[in-house]
Amino acid sequence: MTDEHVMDRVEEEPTPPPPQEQDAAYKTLADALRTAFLVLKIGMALAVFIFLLQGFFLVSPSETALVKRFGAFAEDTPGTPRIYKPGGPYYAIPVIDKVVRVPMGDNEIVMDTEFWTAPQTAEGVESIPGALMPGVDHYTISGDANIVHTKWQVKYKVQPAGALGPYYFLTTFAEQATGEVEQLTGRPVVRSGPEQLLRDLFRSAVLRVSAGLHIDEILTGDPDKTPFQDRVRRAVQDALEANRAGITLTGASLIEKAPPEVTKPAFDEVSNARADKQARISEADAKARELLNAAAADADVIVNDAQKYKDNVASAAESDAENIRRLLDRFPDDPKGLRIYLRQYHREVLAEVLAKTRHYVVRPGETWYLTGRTPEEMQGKK
Amino acid sequence: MGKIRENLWSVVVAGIFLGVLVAYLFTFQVPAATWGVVYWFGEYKRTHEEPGLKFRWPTPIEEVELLDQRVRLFDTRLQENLTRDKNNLLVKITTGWKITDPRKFINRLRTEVEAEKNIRSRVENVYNKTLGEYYFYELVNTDYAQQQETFREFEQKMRMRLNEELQQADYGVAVDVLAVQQMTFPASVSEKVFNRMIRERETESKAYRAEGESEYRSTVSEAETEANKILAKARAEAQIKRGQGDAEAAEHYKVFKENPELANLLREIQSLRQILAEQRTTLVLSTEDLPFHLLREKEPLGESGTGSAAGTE
Repeated sequence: MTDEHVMDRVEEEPTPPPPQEQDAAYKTLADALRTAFLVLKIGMALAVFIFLLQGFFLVSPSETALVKRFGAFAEDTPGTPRIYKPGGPYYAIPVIDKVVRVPMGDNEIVMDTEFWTAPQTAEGVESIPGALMPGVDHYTISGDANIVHTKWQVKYKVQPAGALGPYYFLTTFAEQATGEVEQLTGRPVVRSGPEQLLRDLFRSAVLRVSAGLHIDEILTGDPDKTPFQDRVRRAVQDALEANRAGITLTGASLIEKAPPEVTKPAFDEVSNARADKQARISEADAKARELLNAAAADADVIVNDAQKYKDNVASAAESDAENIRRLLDRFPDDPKGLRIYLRQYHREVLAEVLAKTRHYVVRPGETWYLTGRTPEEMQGKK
Repeated sequence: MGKIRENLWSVVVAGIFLGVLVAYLFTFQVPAATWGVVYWFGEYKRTHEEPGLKFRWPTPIEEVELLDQRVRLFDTRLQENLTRDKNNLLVKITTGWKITDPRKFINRLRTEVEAEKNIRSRVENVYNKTLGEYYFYELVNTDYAQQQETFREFEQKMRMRLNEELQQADYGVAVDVLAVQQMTFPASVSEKVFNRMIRERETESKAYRAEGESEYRSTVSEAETEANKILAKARAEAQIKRGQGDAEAAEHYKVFKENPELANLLREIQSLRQILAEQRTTLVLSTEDLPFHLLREKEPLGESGTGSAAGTE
């Protein structure tokens, strides 16, 4: 092919638009792109603004919060972490800062198997009737080498912000896998380090305190001594403070206590015997009161009878003496007149007496009449 | 420069993305309560103890491993051993350990699992050795203050020995917490303990009942003695009163001496009245007695007309 053909081909290609038309197209495209970029910029700015707004957060009344920046807790002063109390709004830079919330409410743990017999012996464990299987059945040993079972309810909460409780709660003891799995999510259950520490220290305290007390002090208490649960509570609180775990014990209640099942009848018998002793003492007191009251009543009767005798005797003697004196004064030198008086008096008394009595008047020698038999009949009997 | 000004926004955005990439490649975060261990081509280089953003060379030049500074807890198995006085005890111990020197930890133990395995075996050894130094009654007795002190000493001794061993082994770890959390008898021993507990309670029951009986007898006996005293006192008082009555009567009876016959007659008449006051008495009287002589067939007034009759006048 010759250059002339090339030239012809070149000459045959469409001619570009004139320069003025080219500028308009570019301008339109440039405008469109400019607009698009502007919208994009505004959008990005808005997105960044909304993103930055995510940094605001509130702290609910039942929690406190700490903010980690690049992994380190934000501090008010070097060495003193900043703890965000309930309220807000506070600000944490998204992505850079991370808000860590710490629940401050009461937590409850029920320890009802740690010192109690298992509901049934575990599989594969050979049981001995009337015995407790180590590792399966749990208990503590009392100071007099007896065995006792207890159940507890424990409450704790994170120490207040002033004591840096939330900080120590997060930084002293590592979380512990419990070996259990959440039913809904299937995730392993993880317990906070301080709570695990509390469980371990509580078990230790119950064991150690039990080993220093008589079993009766644990089961029934001694009014002159510190109660068992108070001693445990104190021991646990001291241990928590020594380990600086950031939590405090708010309650420890002994909800149930019992001797081993096989010894329970013997313990019940002691309670019965104690009650019997008290009943017998009460009976003795009642009997004593009865005896003393009876003696007092008899004594009153004796004294009163004597008093009556005294009064009667003295009064009768006085009356008799008065009668005689009166008669003697009435018939001072008149024995005949006195005799007549006395005879009349005698007859008056006789009449009075006969009026009150049943009486028979018989001739001498005729008293047989009263028997209803003749003398001959009476002699015949002889 | 002009072009940069024209494309300022793009430059800024590009700069941000570049910065993030550089930060990702050349920095790492050490969280609170964590060691940040840096390896240089697999060899230990340095450890960061303080939390925050740290510099590093990108992988594979420098690798970072984070180790927890916090205390980890585990329990030993239930282990049987003898006290000094040959009492069998099964004990489980809670142990809390932490890394104190990351470099040594990595060199000697490397992982937490390995560390726990090592510490666990040492805990059990220390427990075996220490328990054999104590009598059972030192750890378990009713002298509360002394027992608590001994038990605390037992735990502290175990912890001290354990830390000495770990230091000697140069593991870079230490034990912060060591507490006995379970202490039980073997099953056969628990059976014997039950029997003893039952016997002790039976003795206690008998003692209570005997005390009650003794208290009963003592109280009733004291009451009887007291009652007798009250009655004796009353009798003595009664005796005095009767005596006083008799003495008083005797004073009045002195007037009887002026006419004893009159006094006797009056007393007899009074006695008759008192004795025959009851209506149940039956009398048998003679027609010879006054005034019943009037019931005889004879003329009551007699021959003289004076009315004299047999009987007293």
